[in-house]
Amino acid sequence: MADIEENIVYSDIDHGEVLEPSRSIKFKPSSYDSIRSSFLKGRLESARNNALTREYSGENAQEKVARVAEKIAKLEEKILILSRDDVPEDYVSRRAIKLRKDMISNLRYHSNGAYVIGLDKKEEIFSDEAVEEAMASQETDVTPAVETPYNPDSSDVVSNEEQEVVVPPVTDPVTTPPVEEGTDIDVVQSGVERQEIEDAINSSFEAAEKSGEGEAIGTDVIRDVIDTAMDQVDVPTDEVHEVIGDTDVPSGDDPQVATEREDDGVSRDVIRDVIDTAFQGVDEQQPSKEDIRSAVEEAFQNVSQDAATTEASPVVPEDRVSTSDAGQVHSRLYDENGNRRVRRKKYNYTPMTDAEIREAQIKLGFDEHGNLIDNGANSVPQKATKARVVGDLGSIPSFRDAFVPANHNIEKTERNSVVTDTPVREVPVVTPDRTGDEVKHVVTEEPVKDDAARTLDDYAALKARILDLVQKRDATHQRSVDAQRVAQESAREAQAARRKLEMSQASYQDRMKKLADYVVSLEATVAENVRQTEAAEEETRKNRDFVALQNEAAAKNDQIIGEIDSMIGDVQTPQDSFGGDAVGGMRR
Amino acid sequence: MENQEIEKKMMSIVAEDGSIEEVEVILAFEFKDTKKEYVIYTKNEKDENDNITVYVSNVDRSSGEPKLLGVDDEEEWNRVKDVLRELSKSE
Repeated sequence: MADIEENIVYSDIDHGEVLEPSRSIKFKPSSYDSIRSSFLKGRLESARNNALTREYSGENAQEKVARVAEKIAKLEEKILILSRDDVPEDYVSRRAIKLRKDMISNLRYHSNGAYVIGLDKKEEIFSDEAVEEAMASQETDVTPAVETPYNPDSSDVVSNEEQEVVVPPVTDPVTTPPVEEGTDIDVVQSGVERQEIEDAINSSFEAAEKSGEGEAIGTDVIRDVIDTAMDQVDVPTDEVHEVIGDTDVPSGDDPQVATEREDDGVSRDVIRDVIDTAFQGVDEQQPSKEDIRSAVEEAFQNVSQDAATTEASPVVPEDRVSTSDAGQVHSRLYDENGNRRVRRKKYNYTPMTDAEIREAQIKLGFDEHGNLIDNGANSVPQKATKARVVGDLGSIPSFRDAFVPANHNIEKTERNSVVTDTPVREVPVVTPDRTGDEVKHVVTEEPVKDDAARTLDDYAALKARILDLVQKRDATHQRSVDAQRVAQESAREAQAARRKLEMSQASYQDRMKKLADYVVSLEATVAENVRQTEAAEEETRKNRDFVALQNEAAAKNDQIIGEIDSMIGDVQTPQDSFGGDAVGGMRR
Repeated sequence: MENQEIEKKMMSIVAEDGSIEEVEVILAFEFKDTKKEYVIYTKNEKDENDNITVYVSNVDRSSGEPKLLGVDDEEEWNRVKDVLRELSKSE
């Protein structure tokens, strides 16, 4: 097999003219399938490699990369399906995001003025490891963190929840304050209450409807509204480190003891993730207002569910974790080099962080401010829309950069990272410390029974909604597959018809040329005939003139003859009277 | 078989009588040493044992448009069959 493939190169052909009969051979179905698969795999890999040698130019380079990344992901999916049956349904979206990130990070400026990647990065981008990562099941991603004891003084490694990288403990004595065993650190979540976000979104909905946008409401408008609402309630991004300490922590500004909002609260990116996920189903249809409201409501249910499943208590406005938890949180948040981990779980893709987007923009020479000003505000949402269309691969530029809050009258809630302004509702939170003993931190004065019941209701509603969405997803997926199949068949028919037309046109042109040549030939013949006719007529005329002249001459001769005969007759009469012969009569 | 429905490579061929036919390409390749190109295609004709008939043609692109020629040389034909035999064992 290897020897054979070293001696041949797969080629491509889509039409041909049969000049000689082909030789035929018969194959068993299994052999036939093997040959077919080998060829298909070869073509797919060739197409995939071609993507790396392309040039990406202009300010749309990132969009082009995103499109190519999705195309490559689809090719890889087909390759995988050829050899295995357990390819996840969301493989393409997961892989496309990873590919886009890797491809953008490897873009380099080319002498032609474009950006290229190059085949030397093939292994880095198409590595089996990356494919396997995209193949990992979603269930694995949402596996809760393993409660591994954390010892800051030892070199033992602690696995994070995805068990992908072993992370050494934090040992920097300067940036990480020592924490006494058993000491609790209160971590005050500066996230935003769900109700506040919903209220703000409703306000923005109303503002949009009053301004007329609501009449032709689309998902982009809704995303705009939601982003505006998040600006109004100041939903923090994941880039903000929230820090709080008690007497054991020297400063509330110390950035090294960071809480992980991904686990504890609602961040802008998390909200955006779930909303975009919910919108994926809506985008495929013509969304109505009710669809949009339903999608947003579902998104927030997802957020609530997310928080409920990651915490011991279903509703925790203020989270409190022990220092041992803080150590694990740190190891989950940062890798061994101190870089923040990219979150990859729960949803179908991992959006680029603002820092990653900025880094990619710098590499591509993207001036986000100049872009906004030079291209006009209207062009930015269009770009953002395109970015979503290719598979929710993230927005370039970001939502925050692209959209301006529509309603500035809503009072912005002032917050800081230490103390929330809103009344704190405290509930008992039980978290294990390093010794495994349970530590109760706060005693609540307000029963949480209603919240728990609400959570159950939310769960039931969410579950029903998920089932509904899964059915819709499957149905739309099937429709999409059918439509693509029909489109491919029609494309083939169109191609065949085009070739038939081309051949017909070629034949027609050939006939027309022959006809034109025949006409020219006929015209020449006619001209020659005319010329010959004219020559003949001229000859006839001349002959007639000659005949006339001859006749005239003959007539004159006849006349002369007559006169002569007449004269001769006069002479003979007297001679006869003389009795002499005629001959003698002529003598004078 | 679902996998086999993933992607079909179709080709239009113009027969000697001028008729146009859509056939499925199952392999197209070129020998690196001889630079000779071949296409193996099928009209999905099956016999009573479900064996599938495929056709092998030599592709001539010297005039620009691909022309399908026969494979007359027996050595050449055996070489093509070797390729098919090896690829059929690949999975």
